[in-house]
Amino acid sequence: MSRISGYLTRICRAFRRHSHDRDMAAEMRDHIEHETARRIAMGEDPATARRRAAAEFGSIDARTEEVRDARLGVWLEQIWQDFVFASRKLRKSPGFTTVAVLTLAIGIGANAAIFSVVNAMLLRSLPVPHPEQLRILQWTGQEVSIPSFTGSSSMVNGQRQADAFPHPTFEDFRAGAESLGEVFGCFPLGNQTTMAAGTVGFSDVMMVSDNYFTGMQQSAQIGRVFEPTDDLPNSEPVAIITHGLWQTRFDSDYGILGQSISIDRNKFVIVGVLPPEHASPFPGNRFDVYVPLAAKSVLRPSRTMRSYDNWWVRLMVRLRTGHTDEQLGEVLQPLLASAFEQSRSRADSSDILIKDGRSGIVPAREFLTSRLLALQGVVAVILLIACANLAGLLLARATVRRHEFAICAAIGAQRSRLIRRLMVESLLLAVAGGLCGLALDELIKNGLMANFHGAQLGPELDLGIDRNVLWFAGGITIATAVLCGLLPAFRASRTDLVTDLKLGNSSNFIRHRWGSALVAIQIALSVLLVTGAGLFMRSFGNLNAIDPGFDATNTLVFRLNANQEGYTDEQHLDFFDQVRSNLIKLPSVASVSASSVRLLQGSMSSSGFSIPGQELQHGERWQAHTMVVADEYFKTLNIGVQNGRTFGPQDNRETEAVMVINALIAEYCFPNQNPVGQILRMDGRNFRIIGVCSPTLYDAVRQPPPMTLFTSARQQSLRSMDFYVRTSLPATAIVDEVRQTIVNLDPTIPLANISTLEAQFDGSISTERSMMMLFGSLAGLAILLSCIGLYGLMAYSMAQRRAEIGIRMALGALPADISRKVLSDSLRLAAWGLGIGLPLAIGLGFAARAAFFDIAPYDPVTLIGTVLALAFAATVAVWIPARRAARIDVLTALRAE
Amino acid sequence: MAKDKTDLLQGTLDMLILKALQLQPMHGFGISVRIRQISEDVLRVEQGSLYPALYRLEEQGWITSDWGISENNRKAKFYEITKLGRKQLANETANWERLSLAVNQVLGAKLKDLG
Repeated sequence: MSRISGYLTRICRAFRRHSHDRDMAAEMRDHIEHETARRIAMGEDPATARRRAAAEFGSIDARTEEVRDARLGVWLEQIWQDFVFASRKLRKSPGFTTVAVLTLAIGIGANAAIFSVVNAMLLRSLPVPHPEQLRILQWTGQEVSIPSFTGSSSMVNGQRQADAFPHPTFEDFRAGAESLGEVFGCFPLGNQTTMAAGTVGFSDVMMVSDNYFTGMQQSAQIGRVFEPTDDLPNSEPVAIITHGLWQTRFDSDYGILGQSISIDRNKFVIVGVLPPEHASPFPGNRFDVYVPLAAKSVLRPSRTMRSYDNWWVRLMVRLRTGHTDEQLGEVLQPLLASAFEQSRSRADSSDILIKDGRSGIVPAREFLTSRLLALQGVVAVILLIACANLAGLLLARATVRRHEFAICAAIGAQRSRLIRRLMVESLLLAVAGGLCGLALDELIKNGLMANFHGAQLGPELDLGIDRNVLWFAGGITIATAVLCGLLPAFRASRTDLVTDLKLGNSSNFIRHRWGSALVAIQIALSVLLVTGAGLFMRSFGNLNAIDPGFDATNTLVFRLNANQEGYTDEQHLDFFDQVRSNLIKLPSVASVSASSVRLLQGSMSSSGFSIPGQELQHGERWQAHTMVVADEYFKTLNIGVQNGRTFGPQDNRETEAVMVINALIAEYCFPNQNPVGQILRMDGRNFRIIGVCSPTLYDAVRQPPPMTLFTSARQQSLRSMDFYVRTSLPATAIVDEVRQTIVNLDPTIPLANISTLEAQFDGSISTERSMMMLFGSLAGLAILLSCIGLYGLMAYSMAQRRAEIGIRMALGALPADISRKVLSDSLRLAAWGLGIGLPLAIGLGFAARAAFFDIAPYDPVTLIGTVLALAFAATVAVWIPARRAARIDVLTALRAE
Repeated sequence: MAKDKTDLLQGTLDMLILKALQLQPMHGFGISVRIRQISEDVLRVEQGSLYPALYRLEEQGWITSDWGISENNRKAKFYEITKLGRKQLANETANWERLSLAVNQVLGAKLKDLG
């Protein structure tokens, strides 16, 4: 009792320093009183007695301070002792220490690595002044239809959520919210052919509103940023380049201002160079050239800029201090509603969304966040397994060290002191693990980025270790130390002096229950990862087995951007025709064609259509993917034509507009009719249907073949196309020949985005592949860690139970019986782990079912596979302990006891 | 090193305090008076080291403290020796005896040699 109360007093004292100081002062005043009384009793007069007593004692404050120092000194000294003692203990068992540190390093390193991605994509602020004032504008709406939309949009709870606005709405917002803050816009144009200082190259181009740089509060290093007059319909085209481009393409020429850079053969006069620390608003993506939004009229002339029908501008706001998001929303909401009213765009309801913009624009942020959080969860499971593993090891070690603890207790060590000593030990391990983990972090990150190559993460993402990452790593290190150290420390410090001393080192007291529980937990956690890996593997298998509807083998793909200055549409068409006719002359080329949108690249174009004579119900709207193709498209890609014919040179601007539809449209719009010869209306034009082809994949492997309308390149105006070249050789073998052919035609037009159709297919399922690889390797790691845990527990218990086994064998048990017992013991543990893990895994699988393709979370193949994998791993892990147990020599074992 | 010296002094003071508490619980002033009495005024405890030493001893678990009423009817903090403290005192006493015996022998031998 008194021991517990003493313990409590001390805890209270630590938290109530002030009252402790008060107590002490009272005690000292009491001391002086006594001394005074003694002096008076000896005959001194009271005043002198009091003065002398006080003088002799000295200042109460100073004395209190001395006690406080002593207290701190004791504490520090003890911690230091614990530290020295713990490091000596760890040095003495290098095997244990290495395994423990490596286990933790993997766990902590993986967590820190994923966190650095989370940090770079979602947490880190843009390097601009006062990033907290920045907002991003988005909108949600129900039953939305928009004639032309370029941006990122997703369905959230049945609502469309999107980030692009029409340009006139941007101007409405800007004028309406003028008193609240600066609304500015941008549009990433992507990779463009640029000509600068006589060299051709590719640069990433960003279009921004004239107030973009003022809104971001960024200034130019040389020259100026944009001014309002730069972004008018008839302004002289101007550009601002980044420091990087200035160095590489202009050789850091200080006379840069007034020189020009051509983007797609349109000249832009350079008016400024940005400083090196300039950051793009899209984390992970770098832009080389900034041009005003007005440049759209020359760079993207196909769609009108100043129309409420065309939604493309991404908007940000720098809110002035003192104004709130609510005020901003009140101003913008009616303006958004009027955007829908003033255009052919429709929405049943629409709402403006104002989001935190300090970390910039992350397209599909919600999707990415959920992906990254899922990954963070997975690596957290790994860390938990590592913790359980280490806790098991520490527990086993603590049991071996019971004798040592008993001696410590016998010579007067308090339990709290023992616990602290053990905690310092696990803290030391965790810190060493954390440091090694940060070293591993770089390795893990590289692997991760390689797996995610450009899938969602920008290629230029800065994954450096900053303060956030360090805090995180430090936090999980300490959490790890507590998690894996606390249980063993409490168990171990609960010493029963008499029994432990008497039993000496060969204690029979095996804390099996806790050790077994820890192993079962590890197996249960591994089951989660193994099931996940299995489900991803099966998803990937399903995706890989999908028939795209076209023949992806031996097909080279590249893009030609033939935006010739002063070329008419006919001249562009001639150029594309020449490319095709020259390429077909190559001996290894079987067939050549081209399309407006590259297959399986995640991009698509779609359009609403109608069929004269077929009335649609109110609110119904037919919509299909569209594709403009060159002659022989269907032949080159081996797409089956079920009915009618395909495009040929006879279809041109003078003849009737024609169209090929796929079988899905035929079934949907012309049930039990022959669609060939019928009329279909799209974009205000009538097309005669001349053929029906088989359904094919379009933008992604995950999406089932969509309803698709094909039109002829001869009847549309196109300035760039993706070419498909079918060869008899492996597709990459003919790249040089193809390049030479194009150079002979026009040396200033480079081949862009060279790839193969097979690579496009693989690329389209790369996320699934990387998830499979990632889960697979993490699951392997989890199994490995659990096996180490199981092996450790079994090996250790075998060592502890030598005597028992000896007796059993002396009484007639056969070696085979012994190994069977060991094996069945460990399989029972594995069964416990599976029993806990499988329902959890199925539950989590249901929660994450969207991530899988065509696979139920309770997929029997996966579940049986998981059970077999873990049973096998458990058997392997205990093989050596079981054999060793069976080989125990009876006499030696009994004598040792 | 300075540390050794303080350790020795500290240890000695600790021993004296434990010894003083051996018979009955006492408050801080009582302890200082007691040490002076037993040593017949030879040893005087510096006030500045008494209270830190008391704290240290309590921290080691050799003594415990509690508030009580002193002989002059005032609230005072009383210190009491624990089981662990008695064991420690026995150890320290034995050590001290060994040490002082050895030192005496050395000193005695030197005197003899000189004599």
